[in-house]
Amino acid sequence: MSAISMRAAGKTYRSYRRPHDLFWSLLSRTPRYREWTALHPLSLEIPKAQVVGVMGVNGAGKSTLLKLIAGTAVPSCGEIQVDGHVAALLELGAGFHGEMTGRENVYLGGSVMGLSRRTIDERFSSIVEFSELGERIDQPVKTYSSGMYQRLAFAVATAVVPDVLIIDETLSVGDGAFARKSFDRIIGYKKAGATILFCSHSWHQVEAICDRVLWLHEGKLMLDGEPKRVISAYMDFLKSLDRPSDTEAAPVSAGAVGAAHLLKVEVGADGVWGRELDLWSEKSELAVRVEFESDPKLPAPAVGLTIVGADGWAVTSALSISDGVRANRRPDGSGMIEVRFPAFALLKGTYWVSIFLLGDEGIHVYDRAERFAELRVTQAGMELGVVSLPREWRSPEQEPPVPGIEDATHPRL
Amino acid sequence: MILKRAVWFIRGIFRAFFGGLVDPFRIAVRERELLYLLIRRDFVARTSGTVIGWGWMIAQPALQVVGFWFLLELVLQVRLPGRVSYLEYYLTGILPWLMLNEILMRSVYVLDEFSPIFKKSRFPLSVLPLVPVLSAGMIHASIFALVAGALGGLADAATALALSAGMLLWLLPAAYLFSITGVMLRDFRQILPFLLNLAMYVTPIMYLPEMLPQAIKPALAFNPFADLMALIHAGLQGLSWDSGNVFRPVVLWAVLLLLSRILFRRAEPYVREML
Repeated sequence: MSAISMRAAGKTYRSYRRPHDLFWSLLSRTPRYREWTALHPLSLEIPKAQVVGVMGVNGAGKSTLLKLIAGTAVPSCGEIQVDGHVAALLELGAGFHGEMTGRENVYLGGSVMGLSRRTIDERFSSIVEFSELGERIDQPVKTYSSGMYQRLAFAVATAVVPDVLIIDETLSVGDGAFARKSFDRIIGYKKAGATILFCSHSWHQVEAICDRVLWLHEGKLMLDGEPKRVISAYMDFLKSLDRPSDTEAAPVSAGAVGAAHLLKVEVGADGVWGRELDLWSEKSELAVRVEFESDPKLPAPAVGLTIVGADGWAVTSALSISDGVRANRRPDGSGMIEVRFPAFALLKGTYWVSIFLLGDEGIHVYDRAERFAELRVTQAGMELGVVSLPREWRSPEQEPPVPGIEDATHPRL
Repeated sequence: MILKRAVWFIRGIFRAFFGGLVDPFRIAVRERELLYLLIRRDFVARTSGTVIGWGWMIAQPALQVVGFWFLLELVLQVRLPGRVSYLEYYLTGILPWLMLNEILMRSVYVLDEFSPIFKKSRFPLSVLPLVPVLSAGMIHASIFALVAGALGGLADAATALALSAGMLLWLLPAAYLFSITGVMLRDFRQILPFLLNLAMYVTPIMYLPEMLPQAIKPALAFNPFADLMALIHAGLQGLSWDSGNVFRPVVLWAVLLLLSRILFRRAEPYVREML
């Protein structure tokens, strides 16, 4: 049986000019509203234990789809059946009250999610342990930092292994170590066989986690299938709109957000280090050196980089763990890793290098330095495009033609 | 065909009526833990940061009562004809009135107040109108019973509790109706305090019905609150009442029950989008 079954379910929102128009509409059954369709009728069968990514530009209908499945919105047409307990991470801390203690809010938040007092009693100690609040659980929530608040809210929201987990936009909760912990919990649910719906702009995370991807646009399902195929089609679509992917278009930033941090990033070409570099296509050597610190108790982080073109599109990327390389660290968790691109293969143009410090699984981003260095590439030859592929031309020595004998394969015209 | 439609219509009316009657109780039992926590949250939200904390839940109505008593008995020296003392009569009327006033006033805002909870989580919306009913009911019924007990003994305390329970039952449909109306007809929220104030003055709470001019007395038949007061005074002080005092509020209650059930169910899917 499917975990989620949608049969021609759609959502049309009604826009009332004045609140009392709804009142008269309901009483008289005459429409006094304008309608707009957020999600056209959609039929879907999502089997148990499948992890489904939902992608699309803003206004595509992603959140509406998640709300319908989560039960926080009512479909305007069709039917939706969800089998089992649903946990929706649409907004953390729904129902919490600042004046109440963490303990009271655990019960309140749990009850709002439909958990019985007995279930909350049983899970209480694990919630406190997971949220790392200790004795502060008996203090009013208003005295918590935003990180503590989010930790508690996440711990409550995910206290019970859900049959269906719905996650909107973010996988990172609270400060660094906890962000990783929350991410691990979600991955744990995946392993435990929960059906997960995951909405994100980050194609990297979607591709890494999901078994299937739905691409929505203007409330319609454009493509449904295997992640690589759907993401590729989605990226092509974005390119046709001349809109860079949201992940790559993020503003230049360099700040620590995780339990591992970038300490120093250097980008060099032919021995010259800097943030604006000139390279010769197929001749220069590009080097990227990353120094980091990390929690020595956690596995060594992975390092990734992307090179994007002037239009914001990723031309290429590299990830240390995909290449079978693990960063060596000192006992305090710090370390350095370097990657080199000999005979830089990109053709003339301007490119930007972004560097990412990721979890050991290569999905969770600890820290990033986006558009860290600008590469200005010039080339000697006349090739077109963005990359010069390694190639071999062959032209075997030709025997001179014997006079009088016509070449049968190439008749003289 | 017409007969079939009539049967269908009557069946719908009955369904709506019994649904409206039974559902609040079914919800209260099913969501009792959530309801308890929401009421607790409500108390905390209303009294946080104050010196006497939860004491304000009792002190606030008590101060209102004292204020009116000071004005009417000590300053204006109002006296009632007959055997009932003014203080006793006044307290017997004003305490249930304060309960009614608080329930109706809070009902129009309750969906807004709790919207951060239900907008992004699976939440039984129909539990919310029960919050002001039970929260105000618990406080005011306790005060009413204590005062009635102090004035007339244990039996009067029990009667006060029974009368409060009856009044809460009577107010349930109004709470559902007002909660949904408060979302859709925002002007209703603005006019309601005035209407309730007006209703208090035209209801025999601070005076006996007999003290009204003869020409106005028949108008009391159009005031359902006057019927409720008559029944409360009859129950606690043995004052006169008639079948009209029962019939009229029951009819109004049935109409409100039907209306609230239909409107709440029809509007429920749109409330999240409206707020």
